[in-house]
Amino acid sequence: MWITRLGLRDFRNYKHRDFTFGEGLTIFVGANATGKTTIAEAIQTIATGESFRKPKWDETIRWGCREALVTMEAEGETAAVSVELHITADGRRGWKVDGVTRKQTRSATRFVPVVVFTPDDLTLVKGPAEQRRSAIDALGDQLSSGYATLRRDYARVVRQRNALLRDDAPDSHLTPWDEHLVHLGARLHLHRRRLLVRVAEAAAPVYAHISAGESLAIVIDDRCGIGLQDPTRAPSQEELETSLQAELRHRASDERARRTSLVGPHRDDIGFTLDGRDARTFASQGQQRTIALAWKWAEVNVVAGMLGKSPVLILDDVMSELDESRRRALTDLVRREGQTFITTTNTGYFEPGLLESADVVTTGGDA
Amino acid sequence: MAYYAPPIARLLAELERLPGIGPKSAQRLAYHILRGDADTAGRLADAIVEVKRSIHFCGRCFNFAERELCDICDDTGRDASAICVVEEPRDVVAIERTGEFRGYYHVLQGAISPIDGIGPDQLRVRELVARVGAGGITEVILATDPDIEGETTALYLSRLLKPLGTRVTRIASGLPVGGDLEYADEVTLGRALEARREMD
Ligand SMILES: [Zn+2]
Repeated sequence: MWITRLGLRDFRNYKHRDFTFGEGLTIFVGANATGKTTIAEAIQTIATGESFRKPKWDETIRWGCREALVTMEAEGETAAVSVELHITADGRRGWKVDGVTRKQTRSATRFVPVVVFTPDDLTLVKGPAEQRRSAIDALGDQLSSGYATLRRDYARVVRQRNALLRDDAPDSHLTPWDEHLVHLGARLHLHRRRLLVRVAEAAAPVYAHISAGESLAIVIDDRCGIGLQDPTRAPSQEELETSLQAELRHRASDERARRTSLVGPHRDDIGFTLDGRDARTFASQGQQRTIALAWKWAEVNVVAGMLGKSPVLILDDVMSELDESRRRALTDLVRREGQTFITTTNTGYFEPGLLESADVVTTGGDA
Repeated sequence: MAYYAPPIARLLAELERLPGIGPKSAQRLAYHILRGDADTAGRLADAIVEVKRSIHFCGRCFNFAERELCDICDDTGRDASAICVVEEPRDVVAIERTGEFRGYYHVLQGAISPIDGIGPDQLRVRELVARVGAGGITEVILATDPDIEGETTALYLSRLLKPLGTRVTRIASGLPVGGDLEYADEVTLGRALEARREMD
């Protein structure tokens, strides 16, 4: 599916603006603070329910207004859909699909998969572990509602358990949460592993292509006590539960001392190796950015492969952060099948050939 | 600095203490009450006072009751060997509607949730243990909500009750994920009761 129309009413700095999009590439050009990123954000929000800016939702309502409205029409080979998102001053979001109210964000946001690439994603290799966990989990959420539910439930168990550890609660209160942590934690870890295998398989050839032959691999540094770095070597659910249980016992006094949950997939990390060497330590900044680029490219391919439809790709201001050779690689990704939105301050970053095939929209002025 | 006359400010403060009511909704409700006639406001006030005066918690199962015991506990025709444990009085209504259960209930008045400061001591757990410990109960059905907190409460209770020698079962979780029992449709909840399983 591709997005044919986008409507913004009192969304951030936009009072009232409608856009019509083609099936291919749309480039939004404008100086900083002209609302380009807001358009990228609106597209991601209406399509997926998430925003890379991670706002409190009431912050997205234009100053002095009671409500923001974002609308989208999307079209596919066989079907069309219209989605409406109302954001109210209490931070609540209300969804409608083809005019019918949907209670769950999930049921309103499963039509158009989206992959977003922003300058923040370029620190994938060197950034905090949390960034890499969110990268894989956000992908999982989009691919399966089961993954999203599992992740939400697991996160809740960790929060509840941390509250008990903070209060120095007795073991008998902790025990039922430990059981959940072990069971859900093992499932989440296994689903992540499986998804990482897919990402790794899609990212390696892209990396090799851009870097002229270097070999990229993805490894898992787990906190589940299993110690299998290679994601393709998957333990069974039972094995993992047993090792999580043992690890919980082993770290029990540490957890008591530090008053927080130290065992489980919420502490896992993901690593990268180039020709077998740890990229965090040995790779140049350029190589690390190529890894981030290969990861995004892999996301596009994994989504297309698993959902059977090419995702919409949003590149927010990322061209200016890349050098010539990586820009060329990214341009190849843009040329693939599927709709793409790019925001930029400067069309000089694009080859004339690409520009000719694109719709160029200038932002600013009437925002 | 006072923005409102004291009686209005007092009403707003009380309304804002209600769950789900923020300053804006409180304002809307207060204006609605002020614009309406005195009888309407009187009926609302009476209903609130009356419900607090006449309804309290059943001395045995902690469901809502008008007398010492609720209507269910008062009914001697039910199966005294089974207790169904639920979180809220509304869950009793939902299960009664299925017509699948003929025993008695125990209303915990919530579920374990450390982030909200709710542990076993804040719930009617001690009273449940006493009821089961008194003997004559052959099965305790744990029908807490099928969410993380409800599942945890069930696990906790099962550890506590099993040593007392009773059979402890959990309703099947064919319920909508993350859904409350209250919203589960009757057929589903009935089937969940029927397909309950032994807690391990
Ligand atoms: Zn009663």
